[in-house]
Amino acid sequence: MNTRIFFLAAALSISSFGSFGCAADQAEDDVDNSEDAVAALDNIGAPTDTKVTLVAGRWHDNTLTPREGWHAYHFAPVESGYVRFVMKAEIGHANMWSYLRIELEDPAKVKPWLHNTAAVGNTRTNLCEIIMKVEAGQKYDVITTSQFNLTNVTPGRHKSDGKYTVAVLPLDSTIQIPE
Amino acid sequence: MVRKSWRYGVAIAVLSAATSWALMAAAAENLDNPTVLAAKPLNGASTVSGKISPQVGFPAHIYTASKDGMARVIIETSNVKASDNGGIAWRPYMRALSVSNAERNGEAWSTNGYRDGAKASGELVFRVRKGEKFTVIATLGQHLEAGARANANYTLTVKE
Repeated sequence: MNTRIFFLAAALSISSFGSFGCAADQAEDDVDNSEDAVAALDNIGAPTDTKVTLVAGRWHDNTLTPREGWHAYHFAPVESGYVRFVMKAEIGHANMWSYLRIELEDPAKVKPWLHNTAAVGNTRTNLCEIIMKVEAGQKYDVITTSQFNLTNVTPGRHKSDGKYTVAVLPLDSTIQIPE
Repeated sequence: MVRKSWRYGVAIAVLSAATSWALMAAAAENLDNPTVLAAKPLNGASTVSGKISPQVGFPAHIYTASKDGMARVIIETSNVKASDNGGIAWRPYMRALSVSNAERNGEAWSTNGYRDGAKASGELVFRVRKGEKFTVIATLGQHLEAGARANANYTLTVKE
């Protein structure tokens, strides 16, 4: 399966970066690798809350860094129906491969989450798109990261370091969801 | 008596080998190495059904889009016995992976669906072009989170 080969290649690339590409940052790595620094890193279960509530149709720009690799946004739809959650990063970026995760906010804060839908972007466009039905009155967490962070095996720092943009967009007239 | 013991010995050896094979097969099969059921493809708008089991915990079907537009892939699961898991459906988990082509590479979508009593469902919606292929994997959250396997009926339906 080509996709699986690509995932493997990506994982191998991560190992390569860890061994060679980040040699100049060795001193920083040594500091970051303390247990406290590792514990302080955000992650899939504890993303950094941007305190930003996304408004449909408006893009929000941000940056992932080795210290801050998981961002959480909020979305509270006023109407029920299908919307597009979209994340975009630079095409060909060495360590930014867009990854988007939508979680239905769990009032009880009990894990695992009530519901989540996730997607990995197209590497040819670095665009990641989730089309899903949302319910008015519900709250959703929109979590952005990079596939490289998801598969990162190096403790102490995230792999991705780069800009991205994220949005919730209404469906345009060219999109017909099959009934 | 000796002949009977010999038969028992062979029977036990066969059972042992079969059990070992089943355990090895189950161990080798996972979300990244699903069991592709090539004889049950999803060609265009279509439906397939089957069972998720300890032996085949990650059944996968190849979906081929029959036209340009949007595809909605729906997973529905139900308990094999109504009393399984205390009468509550195991949470389904579905993943769709695009097969690489000139325009797309590395794309994947997943969802863990919603439960409603002894039944559960989830859906993924994505853009397709005629002829593009996707691997659609049907499994249970239980198989990913707990490492323990369970039985469930599943149906995958593609709408285009």
